[in-house]
Amino acid sequence: MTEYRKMDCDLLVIGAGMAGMVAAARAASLGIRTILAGNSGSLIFVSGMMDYLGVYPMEARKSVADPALGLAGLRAAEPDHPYGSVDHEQILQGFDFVKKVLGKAGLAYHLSGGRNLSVLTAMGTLKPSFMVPKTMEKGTRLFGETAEKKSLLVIDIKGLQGFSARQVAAGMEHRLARVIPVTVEIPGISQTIPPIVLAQLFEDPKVQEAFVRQVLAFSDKVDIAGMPAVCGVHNSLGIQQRLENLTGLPLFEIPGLPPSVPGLRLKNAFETSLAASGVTFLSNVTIKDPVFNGKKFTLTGSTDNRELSISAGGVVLATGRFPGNGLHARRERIVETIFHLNVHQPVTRSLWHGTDFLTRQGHLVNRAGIETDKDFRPLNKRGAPVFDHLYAVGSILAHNDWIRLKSGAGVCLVSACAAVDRFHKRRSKAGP
Amino acid sequence: MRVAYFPGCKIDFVLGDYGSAVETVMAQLGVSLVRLPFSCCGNPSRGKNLEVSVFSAIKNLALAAKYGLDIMTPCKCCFGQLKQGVYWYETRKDLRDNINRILAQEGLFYTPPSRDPGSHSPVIRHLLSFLLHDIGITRLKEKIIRPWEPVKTALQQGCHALRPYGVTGFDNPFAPKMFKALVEITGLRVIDWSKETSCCGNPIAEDHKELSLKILRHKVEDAAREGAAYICTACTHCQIQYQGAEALHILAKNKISAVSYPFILGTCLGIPLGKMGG
Amino acid sequence: MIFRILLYGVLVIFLIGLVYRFRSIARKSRFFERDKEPWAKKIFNFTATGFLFNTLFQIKLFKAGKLRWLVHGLVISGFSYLLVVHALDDVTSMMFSWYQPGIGPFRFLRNLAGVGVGLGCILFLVRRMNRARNIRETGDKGGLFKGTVSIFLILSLVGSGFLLEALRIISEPRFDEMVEEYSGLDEAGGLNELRAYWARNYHLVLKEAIPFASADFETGKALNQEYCLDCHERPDPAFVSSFLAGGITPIGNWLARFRVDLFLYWFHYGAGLLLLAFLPFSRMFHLVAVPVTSAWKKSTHVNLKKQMGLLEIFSLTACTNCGFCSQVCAVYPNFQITGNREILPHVKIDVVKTMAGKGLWDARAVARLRSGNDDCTRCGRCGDICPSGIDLVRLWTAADHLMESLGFPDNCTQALGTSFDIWTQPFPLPQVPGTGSSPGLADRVAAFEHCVQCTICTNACPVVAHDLNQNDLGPHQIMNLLRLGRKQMAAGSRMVWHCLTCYACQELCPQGIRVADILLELRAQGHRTAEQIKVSQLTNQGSDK
Repeated sequence: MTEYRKMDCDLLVIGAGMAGMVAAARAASLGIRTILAGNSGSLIFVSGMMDYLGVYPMEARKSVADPALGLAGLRAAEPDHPYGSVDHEQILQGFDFVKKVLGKAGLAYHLSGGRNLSVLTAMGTLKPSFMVPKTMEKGTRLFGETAEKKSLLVIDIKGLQGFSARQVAAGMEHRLARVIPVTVEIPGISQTIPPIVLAQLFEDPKVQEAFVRQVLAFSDKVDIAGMPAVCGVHNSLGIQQRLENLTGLPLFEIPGLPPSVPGLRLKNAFETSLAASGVTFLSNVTIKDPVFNGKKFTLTGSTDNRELSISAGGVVLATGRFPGNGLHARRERIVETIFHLNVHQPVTRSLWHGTDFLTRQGHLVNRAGIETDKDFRPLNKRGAPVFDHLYAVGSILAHNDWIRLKSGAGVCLVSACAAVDRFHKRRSKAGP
Repeated sequence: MRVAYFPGCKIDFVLGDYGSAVETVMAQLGVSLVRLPFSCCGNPSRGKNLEVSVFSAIKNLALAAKYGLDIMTPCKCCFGQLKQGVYWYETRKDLRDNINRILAQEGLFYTPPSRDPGSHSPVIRHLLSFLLHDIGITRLKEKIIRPWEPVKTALQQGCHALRPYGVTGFDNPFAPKMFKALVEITGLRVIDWSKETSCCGNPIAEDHKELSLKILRHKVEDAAREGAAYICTACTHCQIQYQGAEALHILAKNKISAVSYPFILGTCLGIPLGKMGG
Repeated sequence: MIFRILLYGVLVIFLIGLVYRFRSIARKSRFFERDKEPWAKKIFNFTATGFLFNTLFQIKLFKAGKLRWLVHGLVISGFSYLLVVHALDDVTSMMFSWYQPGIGPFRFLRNLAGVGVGLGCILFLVRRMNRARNIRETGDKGGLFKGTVSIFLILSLVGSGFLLEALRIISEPRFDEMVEEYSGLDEAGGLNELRAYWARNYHLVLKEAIPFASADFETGKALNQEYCLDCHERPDPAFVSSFLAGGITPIGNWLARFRVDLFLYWFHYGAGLLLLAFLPFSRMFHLVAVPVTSAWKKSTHVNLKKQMGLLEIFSLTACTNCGFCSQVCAVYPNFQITGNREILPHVKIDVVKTMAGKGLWDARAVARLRSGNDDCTRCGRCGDICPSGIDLVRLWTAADHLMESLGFPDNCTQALGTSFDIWTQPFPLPQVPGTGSSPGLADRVAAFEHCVQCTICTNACPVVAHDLNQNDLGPHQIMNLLRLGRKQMAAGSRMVWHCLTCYACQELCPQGIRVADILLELRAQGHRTAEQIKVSQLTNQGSDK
C-alpha cells in the first residue's frame, strides 16, 4: 500500500473562500484537474448576498441604481481597480456562472436583470446587492413604486440574538404603509440559540408548524412577511414554500449578522458542487514553500501530521486579505504570505489610516494588496508578471476597497472566472 | 494481499456480525487478514490522558511494523485514533521520548512515515479506503453478482475518519465521496442527506444517554423525511449506536433499518447471510 | 478413635467454612442498577456444556496455555486419584473389594499421582517466583504469595506421604507390629526367616543382620506367601518411596526406633485435614467456585445492559490469579503509561472482592479501581480467556454499579454534580505519572488567542444544537474562559464533558484553532480534578466518623 503524499494537478487554488471556490468551480467546468486547499469555514461569515457595485463614487450618499453606469465611472477614474481588467458583460457572465453552479448544487439564487436590488437588512436598512438567495427575492420586490401601499410583518424569533423585529420595523416605518413586528416562540428554546442551530431546527416539521401557528393570526393583516434567514440549512427554498403555503403569506428572509445561515448554505453548495465535479479539496491544508522549476510549481501542503508535495501547472492565489491570512501586516510593511509577492501599499505605516476613522473615502490600507496585469497575474516591482501561470484573485487584489464600494462578491467571482479562463486559454495554446 | 486486521475492542464482544461480515468479504476478495495481539487504539482515553491514547495507538502501529504489515480497521474511531496517534507522536516531543523508551522495552520500534522513507511505517487504512485504494472500484464491480434494488439509502459517514482532515486525510470532510461511490456500486441509491457527516451520538451514550438518543432520533427522523429506507454505516461505533435497543425502536417507528456496509457488499458478492452472522 | 474425632472436627470446620462462604454469597450477590438501591435476585443461567467441559477438561485453560493446562491437569488428576483411592480408601474399599494399598499397581499409581501433584505444585511455585521477578520490574507486589499457603500445604502432604511410605518400608517395628497382628508368628514359627526374606526383597532394614541361608529363604518365601502376599507385594512399584527408602537405609534403624513413621503418619494425616479445613477460606475455594462460574452462561452485550451488574461471590472467589486476563487486556498500554495496576483485570478482581466486603475502605484504592475500571473498554477478552470461566465483563459492570451505589460515581457525574465553588478550589492536582512535561494547548496562549468569538464553532456543535436548554457553554465561550485564564472553570462545564469529539468545530474554525483538541485536554484536567474531589470528600467523611 502507499500513502498518498505526492499530488499532481493542473491548477492549484489556494484559499477556499468566495474567490477560491468560484475559481475551483470554474476550473472544474473547463475540465482542468484542480486541487483546492484552504479553510472554507470563513464562508460562513459572508452574508450570502452577492454585490456587483453598490456604491460609486465612494463619497456618494446614495447607492448606485445601475451598476453598469457605476462601473463605467469606476473604470474611467480608477483603471487599476480589478474591475478595470474586465467589462460589464464578463461580470454578468460571472454572476450567471456562479448562479448556475449553485443552482446545480441545489441552492437557488435570484440574479438581478440589470439594476441593483434593495435588500432589507437586520439593521432595518436597505442595502444594494445584485444577486441574492431565492429565499430573499420577494423582499427585494417590496421596495418598488407601490411600497407606500404595502404592509409588512417582521418576524423575529425568541432566543435568536442580533435580530430584532422592532428594530427592522422602526427602520422601515416611513417607507411602507404599515409594519408589524412580532416575536415567535419556538417550543424548547428557553435561552439564546445560535442562528445555524435554529436553522437546523426549522427543518423539523413540528417547529415549522409551531411557527406557522403563531404567524397565522397576521396573515390577513399584512401583504408579506419577513423573517430572519433561518429557513433551514438544507432545502431552504422548499421549507420557505411550505411555510408560505401554511401561512398563506409570501415570505422572505432578511440577512443578519455573521455567522450566517445563507453563508453556510453557500459553503455547503460550493462543497457539494466541487465534490461532484471531481475537485480535490484539501480542507485546512496550509500551502507553503512554492518552488518553480520553469515548467511547474511544486508546493508543500502541510496538514497536521504530514507534508504533501503538490505539483501544479498553475496556481490561483485566493487567500484573501488579513483575516484569511493572505496578507500579513508586519510592524512596518504588509507582506504576502506564500509567494512573498510585491504588495502595493502606502510607503509608511503612518499613512495606512487617515485621521477620520469613519471617512467615506476609506483608508489607504483598504486599497493595499496585490497588483496584477489585465490577466490577474501578480506583478513584480518592475511591472512584469512574476510567473506565467500564477494568478491572484478576490479580495487580495489591490485598489479594491470592496467594503465601501459594496463590490466584494463581484470582484471575487469575476476575477476568479477571468483568471481561470486566461489560464485555460494560455495553456491550451501552449499545450499539445 | 496480506494486511493486519485491527478489529478494535467492540467487534468481538458487541458486534460480532459486523466482524464476521468484514472477514468473509475480505476472504472473498482474496485478502488475508492477519490477527496480531493488538491492544485498544487509544480513542477511549483521548479525553482522559493524552499520553495513554497516543502510546496505545503507536504501540499498535509498532506491532504492525514489526511484522511488516499495514493496518486495516473497519472502525472509524480506531482509524481516526491511529492517525491522531501519529499526529501527537510527531507534535509532542516529550511524549515521543517516553513512548520510544517503553516500546524499546518490549522490543518494538516505531518510525513515523515522514521521517525515514526507507523504514516501514505501516499505512493506516479504514475498510472503505482499503476497498477503494487497494482493491479498486473496478475490481469490486466485477465481483458483484447480486446487486441490490435501487432503494433509497442514507449514509452515516462517521466523524472520526472525516475530521480533522489535516490529521486523518481520509476524504473531503464536508462533501465526502468515497463511501458514496462504494455504496452506489452495490445498486443502492444514495440520497443527498444533510445529516450525513454529523455525529451519530454514540460517544456520549454512556455519560448522557438522553442526548445521545436525541441526536440519533433527530437523524433517523430526518432520514425518514428524505425517504430513506436504509441507513448505511461503515463504523463499529455508528453501527452500535444504530443497533441499541432504543435505537431499534426509533428505527422501526420510522421504518428505516441500519445496515453495515460490509454486510451489503457481502450479499452483493454472493456470500450467504449465515456466513456473515446475519 | 482420635482420628475419627479429628476428622469429624475438621469436617465441621469445613462445613462451617462453606456455610460462611455461602452466607456471604447471599449477602453480597447483588444486582446493581444505576440510581437504584441494590437488590438481591437469583438468576442462574445454566449452561451444561460449559459446566461439563470446563470443569472436567479445563478447556478454557487448554486454549489459554497448553503447558499450564498440563501442569494443572497433573495436579488435579493426581490429587483426585489420591483423594478418592487413597484418602477415602475406607469408603472406596467398601465398593472395590479387590483394592489393596500394598499391592503393586496401586503402589505405582499412588506414587505416580504423588509425583504429578508434587511436580505440578513445584512448577506452580517456580512460575510464581518468575512472576515475582517480572513484577518487581513493574512494581507489582501484592497478591503474590496469597495462594502459596495452599501450595505448601499440598507439597507437605505429598512429601510426608512419600516419606511415610519409605519409612514404613524399612521400619522393623512396623514389621513386627504387622506380624503380630496378622500372623502371630514367633521365632520358632519362622519369624526370622520371614524377616530375612523381607530384608532381602522388601527393603526392610533390620537392627541386627540375620545370617542368610537359602533354605531359610524358601521358608521365608513360603511364609510370605501365606501371610503377607495378599496385601503386600514387593514395594518396588512405589518407585519414589522405595527409592527414598534406599536413600534412608543407613539411618533407617535409628529412625525406626524413634517411630518417626508414626510421627509422619500424624503429620500426613494432619496436613490432609488442615487442607480440608482450610479449603473454604483459601484460594483453593476455586475448586468449588470454578464449576459454578463455568456453569454460568456468559453475559452478552445485550443482556449485560438489561441485567445490569450481578456481583456474586463465586466469580470473585473462582479467580486463581493466573494473570492470563492481564496478558490479553486491551488497555494494558494504559497501565504501562499510568502505572495504575487497578487497570489490570487480575488485580482489579482482588480489589473488587475487598470492596464487596469492606465498602469504600480506602479512598485511594477505590479511586484507582474506579479509574482502572473506567479505562476498561469492555472488549470481553479477559472473560474469554479466563480459565476459571469467570464472566469478567459482567463483574466489571457490577463493580461500576457497586461503586455508584456506594457513592463513588464516575468522573463525569462527579464533575457535573460538583458546585463551581468546590470545583474551582485550588486542588493540588497530582501529576499523572509519565505525562509529558510540555504544556498542553490550553496552557499555551498562542493556541487560542486568535479566537475572534465568531461563534462558528458553537453554531456547528451538535451538543449545543441538541442540548439547547441544558448545555451551559458553547465552545466559543470555553475559548473565552481560557482567554480569561479560567481554565479550571472551563474544565467543569457540561460542554467539555459532553463533547462528542466530532471535530466539526475544529474543522470549521476560520482561525485554525484546535477547538476539539482543547476541549479534550480540558476534560483530561477535569478527570484529575474530579478524582481528587472524590478522594478528598471520602477521606473527610472517614475522619468525621
